[in-house]
Amino acid sequence: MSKCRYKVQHSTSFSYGADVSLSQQLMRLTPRDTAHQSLQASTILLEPSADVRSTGTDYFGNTTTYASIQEPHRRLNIVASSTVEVAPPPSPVLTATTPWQMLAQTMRAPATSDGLSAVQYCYPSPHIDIPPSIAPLVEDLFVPDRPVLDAAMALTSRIYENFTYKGGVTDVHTPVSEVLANRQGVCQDFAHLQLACLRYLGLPARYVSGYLVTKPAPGQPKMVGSDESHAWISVWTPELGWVDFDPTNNMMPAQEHVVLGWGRDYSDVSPVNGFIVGGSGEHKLTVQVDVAPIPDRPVPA
Amino acid sequence: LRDPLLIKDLSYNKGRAAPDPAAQRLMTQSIPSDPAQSALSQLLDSYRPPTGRFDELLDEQGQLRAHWRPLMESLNGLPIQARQQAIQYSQTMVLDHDVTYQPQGVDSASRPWQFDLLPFVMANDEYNELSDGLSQRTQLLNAIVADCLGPQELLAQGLLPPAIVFGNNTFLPACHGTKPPGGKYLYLSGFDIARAPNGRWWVVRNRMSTPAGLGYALEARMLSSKCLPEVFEQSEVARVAQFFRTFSNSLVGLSGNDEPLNLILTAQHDGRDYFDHSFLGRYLGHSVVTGADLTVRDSRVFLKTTRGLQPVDMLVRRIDTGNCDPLEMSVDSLDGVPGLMQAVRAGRVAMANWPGAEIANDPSLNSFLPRLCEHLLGEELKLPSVASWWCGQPKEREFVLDNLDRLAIRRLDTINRIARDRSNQSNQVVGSQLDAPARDQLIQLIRQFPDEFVAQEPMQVSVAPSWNDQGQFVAAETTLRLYVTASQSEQNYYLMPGGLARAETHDPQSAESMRLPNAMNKDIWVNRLDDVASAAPTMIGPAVILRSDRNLASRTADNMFWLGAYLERAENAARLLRSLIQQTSGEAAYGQQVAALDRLAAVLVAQGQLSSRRARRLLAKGRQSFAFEIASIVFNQESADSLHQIVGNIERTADLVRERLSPDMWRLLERLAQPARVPKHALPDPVATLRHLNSQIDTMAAINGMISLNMTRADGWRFLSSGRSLERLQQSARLFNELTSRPADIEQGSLNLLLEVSDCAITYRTRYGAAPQFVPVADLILADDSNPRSLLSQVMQVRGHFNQMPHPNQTGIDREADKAMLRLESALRLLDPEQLDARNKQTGSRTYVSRLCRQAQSDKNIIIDRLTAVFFNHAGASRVSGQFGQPR
Repeated sequence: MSKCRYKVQHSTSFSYGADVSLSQQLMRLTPRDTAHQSLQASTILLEPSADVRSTGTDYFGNTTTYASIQEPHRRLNIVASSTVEVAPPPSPVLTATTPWQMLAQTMRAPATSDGLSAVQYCYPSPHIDIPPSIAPLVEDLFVPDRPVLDAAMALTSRIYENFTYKGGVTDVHTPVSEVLANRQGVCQDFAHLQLACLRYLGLPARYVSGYLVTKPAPGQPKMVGSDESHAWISVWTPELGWVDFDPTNNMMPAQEHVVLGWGRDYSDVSPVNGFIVGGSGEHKLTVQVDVAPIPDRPVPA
Repeated sequence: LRDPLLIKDLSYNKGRAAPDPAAQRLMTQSIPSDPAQSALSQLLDSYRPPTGRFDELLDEQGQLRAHWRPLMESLNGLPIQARQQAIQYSQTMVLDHDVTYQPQGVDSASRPWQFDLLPFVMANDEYNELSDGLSQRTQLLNAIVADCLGPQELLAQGLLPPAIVFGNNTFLPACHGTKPPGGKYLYLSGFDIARAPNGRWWVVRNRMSTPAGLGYALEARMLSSKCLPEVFEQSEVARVAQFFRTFSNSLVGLSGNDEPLNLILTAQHDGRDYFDHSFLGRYLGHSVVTGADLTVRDSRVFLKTTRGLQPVDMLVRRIDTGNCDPLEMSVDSLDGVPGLMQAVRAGRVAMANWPGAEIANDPSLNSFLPRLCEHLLGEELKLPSVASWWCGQPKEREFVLDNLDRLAIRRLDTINRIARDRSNQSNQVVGSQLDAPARDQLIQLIRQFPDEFVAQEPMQVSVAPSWNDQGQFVAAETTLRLYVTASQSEQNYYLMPGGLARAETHDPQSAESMRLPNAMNKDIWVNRLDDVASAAPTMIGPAVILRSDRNLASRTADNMFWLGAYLERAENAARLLRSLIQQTSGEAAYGQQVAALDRLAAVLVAQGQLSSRRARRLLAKGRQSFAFEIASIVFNQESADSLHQIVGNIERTADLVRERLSPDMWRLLERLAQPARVPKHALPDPVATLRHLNSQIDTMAAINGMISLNMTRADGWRFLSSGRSLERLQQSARLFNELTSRPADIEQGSLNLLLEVSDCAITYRTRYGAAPQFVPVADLILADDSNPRSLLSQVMQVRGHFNQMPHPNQTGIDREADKAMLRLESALRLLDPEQLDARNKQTGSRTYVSRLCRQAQSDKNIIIDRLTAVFFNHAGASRVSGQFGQPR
């Protein structure tokens, strides 16, 4: 397999019934570089333009863009465009990874710097609650000495098989305990659920925010979660570093997943978070995501 | 050597354990003969400390400890009646100051604060020792916070388990990487300490978040020094003022600005802790604001004031870090300010305590402190924590499970809090108190979620004397809340020579009180010795920062305006009702004609105190039943717009600007809001009604007097006064129109009523000495600028205030409001009363009167609209800009 290049466009537009006198937006819309993904170009356009704008790096290493629009406005458009190149990730031998309970044990007091940087993903977080009732979902999969990624893949499939994908039954604040009880939700819920399972065991696992290619390659089925923001998870092992799993599509992401950023859960990497003063009355929000492959340029003769 | 003050009563152990041999020996030795001694012995007759606990008052030999001696000697000279009187006085003051607290729990109402006047006495050398220990502890915790929010080396070196940091609800990634000026994360720390049976002090809890209770501690000092003035003087108590000065000065240093704007940031006014914050705010001279009063522009924090946006230098943070900035943190409340962390990161605002400091509260840190102290400070931990076992460590967990029955098990404030039970209920249990299923469930949970539990050795805390409600000395389990503030010198921290003691007495007779101890708050007195004074750091700058209205928050101005309006509305309603009672019951004064009933009814209907349907029914019944109806309006607590409702509005509005009102003013407002006492089983009669209204009017007169004479002529007063004048303008115009514009009837009765309600009857009688006539009455009530209640006076007053109000720099004086005021003023000045008197030939109405009153109403509305637009509304509240779509 060769590298794929994508043009990612993520537009968010707000319209308000009355003037907004102050709007502050914190955006995480710049795709990250990973072991097999490289960012080639990225811009964020604001309209109206921001009076104060700054970029930074958050605690998790994601690029943040803070913008404050201090002139009265009734519409706000945020258009983030990027070009990324995704190389085929290595196919790890899942059964050759550390036994899960050994990894959990190591993470109680990690000695390596990689381990230290992964340890913050071992605990509950604002959107990852771990109810006692989660135990039955993992206990028979995570048997002693089972290689951690082998068990993680089994868990991915279990969530895919036992939970129904259904939009509109949950929102961004739905706790894991509710997803667990109702057995339905969308990609964010499944990602949160799987993280809760892994962290219940003390394993390092993080939330990945990103996109799926909008139109599948010829002959391939269209995946669930394209046209919108998508989310999946990643598990850390000392041998392989971070390895991704997508419980919504029961697969390990390859070249059709574009990574935007990561954190402990959705709340750390929400793509656009904003507060306004004013703007009463009708209030509209539209979001559009498009991830299109860029055809390979002909090689100059 | 025999102590002349040897007074221990040894009969206390009757029916309990045998008295210890030492005490028995003493019993035979010390039979007091001197009357002074026997008085002291009597004083402590009821003081029966249980065995097995440290006694703060008496030593092992039953001798009074030296540091209690000045207090006890001084109290010994006080007759029991004087003591009871002082206690009574302190309880009255608690009610007068409206010191309330809200017990833990969601919907509990606030209750009066429980205060025990008898202070806790701390020896001077003990103060020094605690000062040393707590300063060191603050320094240590500061270093730990700095590491967690910075390099996190303690984790890398294995000195601190990652679970304690990352599993903690107070670890917020948004705070990581921020650094306060001077490296001080903790400016104000609180500690709960208790003394073990062996006489050593143990720290029970660290309270770094928003150390609550400082306002209460001030109140406790005020009460104890006021209610026991001689005792206070004779006991030579170290003053706490220096502590607050040190705190204040450290804040001045923090912002690096010579004339900084420092504010206390609290949660929305919900009663909880509000007393605490407003009392502290008044004492420090910092305004108390909520997140809605602040905004962030250009990465700076601004206060929305009547003069526009004012840059803020420093916030005394009394809200949790997690609620500080909804833009960067996942929050459920809007107590914070969106963008605040941007300003913090840009170094444009200082905060005490620094966001993220709460991580130092965690009880699971306790067992790591000795090692961390040696590592970080290179010294031994001076003041130990209460013995703790964090279940996140395997050995400790097994120990806890083996000793479940004797340990106190605490649920930590982790992110998970076992899947998000944030209630304070069952925060701490003792294994032995659980039944078998609950015990098994606890064991299961500890095994499943070990990181979320810590166990502590239950402490037999020491006992100290307290006063019961009869003023008798009783032994109470006592813990102390002490406060430490940063001082300006680099490393130093300073312990407040005072604080709050919490005394719990158990009545063994009552099962209820075994479960819910009767807890009282009390002052802590530290004996003043020279070295206390020298321990205090030298201070610079003024002792107390004066508040100026330079920074009157828009929301406060708005509330002051409406407080003024409601006060006037209430007074007007009370006066009107009183006049109506006088007109409808008993015999009217000689030669005084009363107004037509339908006119009275119309006025009440216009004011919203009576529905028009009810008015019609009443009119049919006649004068006598009218008087009873008024009584029911006065006492009816349900009907909207009744006097009762208006007073309710006053109460609510006053609550929002409490830190701007003097204690005297507050007491009067409290009196006004007290519900009328209606005799049981009896319909309120006109006499009782009259009495109640008179007392309400007296109280309002006192409030008005205080506003006119005692309030500083600053912007806050201007808004309050404008609200009052504009409301009076509206009420007078309405009443005048209602009583004079209609076709002629018993004109004199109406004019009498008008003069009475407008408080002009005496002026009229002295000037004209005759029955009222329309033309002079109209002149007096509308256009006489020597009458402070005239319409003209109201317009002139508002205009005067308006011109001096702090207009936002960009726009200057608002033209529309100015025009409306000028228009109305000229109309009133150029008024021709003869023309006003003219009646329409067909209808018999005074058309000019109606026209003028309508103009007054509409101009008043314009003025209020413009005031709102210019001063109150220029910056609204923040809200979510639209929830971003859920990733799918």
